Amino acid sequence: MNPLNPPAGVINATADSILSGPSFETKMERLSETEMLLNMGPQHPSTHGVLRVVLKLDGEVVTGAMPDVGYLHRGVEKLSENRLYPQVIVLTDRDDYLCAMLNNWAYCLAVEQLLKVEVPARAEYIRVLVGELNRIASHLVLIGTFGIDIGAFTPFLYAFGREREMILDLLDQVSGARITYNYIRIGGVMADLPAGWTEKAGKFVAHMRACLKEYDDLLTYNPIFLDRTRGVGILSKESAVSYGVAGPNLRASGVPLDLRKMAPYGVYGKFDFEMALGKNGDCFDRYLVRRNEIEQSLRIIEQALEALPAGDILGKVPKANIRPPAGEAYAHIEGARGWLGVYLISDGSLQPYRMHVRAPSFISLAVLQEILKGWKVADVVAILGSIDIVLGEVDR
Amino acid sequence: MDDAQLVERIAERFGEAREVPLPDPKWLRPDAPQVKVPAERVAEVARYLKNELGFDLLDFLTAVDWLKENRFEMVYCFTKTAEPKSRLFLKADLPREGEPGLPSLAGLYKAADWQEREVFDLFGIRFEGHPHLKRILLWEGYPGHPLRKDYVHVPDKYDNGSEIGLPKSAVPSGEHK
Repeated sequence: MNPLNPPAGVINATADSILSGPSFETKMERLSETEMLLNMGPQHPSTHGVLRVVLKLDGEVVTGAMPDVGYLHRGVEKLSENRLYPQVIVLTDRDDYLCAMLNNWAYCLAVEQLLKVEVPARAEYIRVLVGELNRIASHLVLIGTFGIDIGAFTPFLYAFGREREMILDLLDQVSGARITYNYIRIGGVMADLPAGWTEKAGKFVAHMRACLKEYDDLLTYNPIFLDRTRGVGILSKESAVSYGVAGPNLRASGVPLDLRKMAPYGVYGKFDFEMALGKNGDCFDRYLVRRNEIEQSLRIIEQALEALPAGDILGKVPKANIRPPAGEAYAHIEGARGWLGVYLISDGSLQPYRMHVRAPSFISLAVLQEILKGWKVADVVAILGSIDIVLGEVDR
Repeated sequence: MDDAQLVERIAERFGEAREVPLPDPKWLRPDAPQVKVPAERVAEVARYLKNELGFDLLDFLTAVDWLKENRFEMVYCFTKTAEPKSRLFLKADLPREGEPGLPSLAGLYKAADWQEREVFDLFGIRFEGHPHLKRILLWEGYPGHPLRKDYVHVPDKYDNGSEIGLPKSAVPSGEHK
């Protein structure tokens, strides 16, 4: 008997225990005579981290899929119960390490709700600047790696190796770190922008606009890319809403929902930009929404640079011993991967009583078990890439 | 419909539903109505919220361990795709003893599937009617549920580097020099 393909009627526990040890049970039912289980990951170049997906295959067609997560679980929520309020910001950096600024932001917003501290206007604008730059950097990772996933190597060298590096340089200059910034602080930001930074950022905006054209030539209108992504891995509106998917993935399915526009936080109400929308909810739309969002983010950065007021960068927050009054707060922002929420409970002490992160990657990843069905093995890589997950955030 | 009317409407339909009282008068809260229902009615109330009141998106769900009051609190946050500003928090209390459990929302909102597994994993709360209630972040056989406040960490090989072959000098002693 072939252990990976037991005869019909044999419960897949046999195959399962061989693949993964006796503890893991998939919810897949019995395998038919022509079906087999394929274990993709946890070490696999296109899972973008440590993710394992157990696929049930009939020939080359996926008939069932079961993602297995938790390989990077560090217990961020538990750890934060034993940290001082400002120390938790460092932990949030490690959740979604591709847009750490936005993680900092969501957490600080929640603490600020409890402290009722007013963030100075300059700090709000700086938050928008670094937040949108980080969002672009995150989308550039998607454009680069998604291209690689389905065979286009060149865009990666440009998006990941050239433009993203420019953004990381800019963020390095404000925060002193390339990836884990710890820059947005409770009540404002850590430091003011260094001299000459706004000019550099302005130059980057112009450069990035030209690059988008380049990406279009290399990737967006590349016939092979179109063949591999258009009509593939369709996530319907109803499914997306039911799974709680929000952000670019939901907008790609044609649901106009963007917190920056519909429930503005910070100073987002003052900017003029459009919501990037898709229509079909396929891999191409999920890609295109992000590509178009870069354009909108550039518009926001331009306006923020122009309107950047002078003034303080930190509100009236105690220098040490931040002790928010007892209560609960929920802050959510439009993260690069969807709604990024922080539910925070304070008991009036120096440490959070409970901090829950609504992690958009975790929530988006759940749709995989549904939308992989019916597609070929090669499409699995495309679909997984288009959902754009960060395993650090999935597993927390 | 403003917040008070919303709570009233839910209370009209479900007699036991009431606005969540403040633990103390100074307690701060997000700007959204909060409704508490008996745990066993959570699924019914959620169905009503989804089908009649238009809360089509389950933003998140989680639990809180109130150890001193000897209860778990389930927290659900609902919102609307057309109107993300309007939110509703649904809460339910559960006893800490025995095997606390309540109906699953996975049939109503697919978002509940993985998030309920997470709560099951980290708090040990059972969801009746969940299609696949297994641990999700930790592995089967993990001792205890870490987000419970009375959870005690059992030292393992990672607490002492020497057991995984590190030289003594590389193992932090925990003392400041």
